[in-house]
Amino acid sequence: MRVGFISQHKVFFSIIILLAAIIIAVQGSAFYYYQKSNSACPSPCQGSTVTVETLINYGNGTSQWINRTNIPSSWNFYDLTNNITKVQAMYYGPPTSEHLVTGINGVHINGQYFWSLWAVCQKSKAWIATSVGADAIHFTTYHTLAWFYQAANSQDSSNWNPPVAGAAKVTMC
Amino acid sequence: MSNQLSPPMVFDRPSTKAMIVSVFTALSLATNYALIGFQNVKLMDTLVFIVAFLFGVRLGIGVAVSTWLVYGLVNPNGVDGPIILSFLILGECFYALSGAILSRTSVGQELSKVKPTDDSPRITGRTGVFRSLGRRIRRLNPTRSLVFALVGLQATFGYDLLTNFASWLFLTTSLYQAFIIGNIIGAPFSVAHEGSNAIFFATVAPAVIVAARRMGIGFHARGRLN
Repeated sequence: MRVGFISQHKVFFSIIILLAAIIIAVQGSAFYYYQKSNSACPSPCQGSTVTVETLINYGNGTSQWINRTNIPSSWNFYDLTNNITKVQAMYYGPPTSEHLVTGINGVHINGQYFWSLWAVCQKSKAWIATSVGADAIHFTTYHTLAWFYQAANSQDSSNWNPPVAGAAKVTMC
Repeated sequence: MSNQLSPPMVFDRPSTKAMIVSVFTALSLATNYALIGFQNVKLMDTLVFIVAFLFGVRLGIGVAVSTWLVYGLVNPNGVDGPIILSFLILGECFYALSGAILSRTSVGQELSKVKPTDDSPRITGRTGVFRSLGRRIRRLNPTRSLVFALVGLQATFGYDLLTNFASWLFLTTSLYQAFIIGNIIGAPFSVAHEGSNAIFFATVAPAVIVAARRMGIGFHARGRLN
């Protein structure tokens, strides 16, 4: 009876199944590309170390630079943050597999105040609000990063302030 | 005689329409905040689809707009700017459109029909546990679930394409860049959104629509007494 129902509406079922197949193929490719581009660590990956400078700006006039020269290149920025500060975070499982940082060194997100993530774009020598979370940042592109506790009334990062007052800011690196 | 048998035109009343939008908006908001810990896993899209399927596109859009006006501005994960918010509302209307369009197709109308008899108590009383389970699963109508899941997947894909693009609209130098970068960086979120919505559309939507028809709720239900 159900086969009969499907055969009665062959065109409808052909179209929706074909569209679904195209969507799965497109989305699968995009996800694969994203994973491939974000899981890469510098070559040679194993055993090498990198130097990373991290700025923690608490938003109340207090800032702290932390320079580390021996960071395993396989780490991501969340690993580093967790190593150099006391982090509170919410973990989201697959497929995103990432942390939402809710507090650093006892300073927690509150109302419109949250921890924004910044990096220095080497090409333009300016700060950029990163487009991905700390888990997706490997130390191939950025070596100077910052956490800045600030209030934002918009999720549009082009309206946010850079972590160093008066420093240059770009929206594309 | 026919007037006596016709169901009351209660669903045409503005007060009923306002009540439907309010109730489903409240449901959407409650489930959104309850699921705040699960990124991009929300029942809201299914609820908007259900409203549009049962009561028409206008009410579906009403729920979509009202829900986002609250959820976009009162959100522990951050407040949306007016431009992003307009894209989110526009994207949410895809579910309303897909629900309304599906309800008007012959496939949608046939799939939402209610079987006149219900022999499940007698069936389960006479057969073994596994056989009765098999019968119950068949009674869920896999074809209906498949159609709702695929339609939900397509609407969600459209929503994700639009909103991922919008997130990068002012951060890139061209519209093409915004579309490509937004949809690659947003891919994990889209996968979670499309996967969870396919499941909700396959399970929640048919169950609610069939239950509503059995209770005589919705515009389609008028046909029951004819």
